[in-house]
Amino acid sequence: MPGEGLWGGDCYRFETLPSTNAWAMANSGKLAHGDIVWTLFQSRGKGRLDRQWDSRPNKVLTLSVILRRPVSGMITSPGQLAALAVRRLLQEKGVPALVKWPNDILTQGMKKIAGILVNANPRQNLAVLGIGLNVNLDESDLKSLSLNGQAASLYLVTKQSFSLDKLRVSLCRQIMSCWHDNETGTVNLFAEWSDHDALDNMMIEVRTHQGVRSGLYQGLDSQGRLVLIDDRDGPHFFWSGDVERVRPYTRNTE
Amino acid sequence: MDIGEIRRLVKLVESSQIDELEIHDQNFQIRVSKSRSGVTASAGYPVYTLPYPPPGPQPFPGAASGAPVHEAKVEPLPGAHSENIVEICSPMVGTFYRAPAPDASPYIQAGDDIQPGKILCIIEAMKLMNEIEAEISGKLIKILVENAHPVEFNQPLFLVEKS
Repeated sequence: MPGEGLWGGDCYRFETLPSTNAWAMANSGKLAHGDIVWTLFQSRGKGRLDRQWDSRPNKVLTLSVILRRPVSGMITSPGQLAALAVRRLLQEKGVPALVKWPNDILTQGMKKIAGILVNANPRQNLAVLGIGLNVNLDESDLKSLSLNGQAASLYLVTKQSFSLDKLRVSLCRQIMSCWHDNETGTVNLFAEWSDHDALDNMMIEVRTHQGVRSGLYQGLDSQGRLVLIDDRDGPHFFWSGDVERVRPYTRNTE
Repeated sequence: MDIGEIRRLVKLVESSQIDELEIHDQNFQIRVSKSRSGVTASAGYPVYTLPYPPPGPQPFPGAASGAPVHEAKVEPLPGAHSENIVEICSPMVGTFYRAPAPDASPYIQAGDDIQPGKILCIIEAMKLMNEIEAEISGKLIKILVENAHPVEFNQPLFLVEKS
């Protein structure tokens, strides 16, 4: 579908695809900045460390955006920029949501409603921004996917069904809007992240392959890394890891 | 002033147009200033600093084109011509992965032949999985980093005997 991508790029639409990111990486030679790949059913979606991202036909918006230009502005991570765009989209649909480092989107009792994974190849000057947004999943879907209590969807929050096609158009618009705001500096996206940060004022645990570090969440630094401080040896900066909220920070008890 | 209050000041300056904020009290003083590389806070007492290092290479696209290759300073290796041995270095900071998934086979093993375009590893930063490709031909002599360990910009990752 020519012109239905971002910034006039093309849209590659599939009924079924194992993974939009994998397809985009494998076919990157013919893809330009702003092209998008989307499918009505992603059968083998993946998250970080190859974790499965489960889906059901016509119920999850799975979309990959081709980037061949750097993200420039206060936010430099494409995943974090996309997380803000998804949060704006949810807000537009009346769903309050928070962002969680590095780029998750949570709603209703800190349940995950969307996830983002970026595959990149520096030599090819390519980043593929993969977004999965739970749209029309209901309780029985979550149960059958063993996601009860962990995941949310637009349907479960609003009790309305949504057209994936219309949501795709809205999401693309929000990504372009965030990109523009970031590039021009018209909106302070760093502050926008901070205002909707699920980890704000929380004692957290960051789990990496080197172990677990606990402390007070300090927000993001200028490169998008998570900053944590503890009582022992000053601030710690994380490029990757799994983060858990432990409890709210209380001045009198710390 | 406790760490929560310092944290709020840092956030305030980071998210505002203010370049510098200094507060004096009978018992302490603190200055929070914003530079190109981020925000730092320094206090009279207690001393607290938030040392944001200068920005490293950014995730792709837009960074250097590939993994830097340097002449290696290594002890002679059995069967290898040391003058041909080079290091392939990390083009970014992040976490080094030898395979695309925890239960998948590594992209490459010692002794394998490589050629330009061959994927050698993944370096992850904030769920951005960067495929690192070879830019030279040769034989992989040694993998210098353990799987899932953090790597720095320009840190040697592989020893390769150029063909």
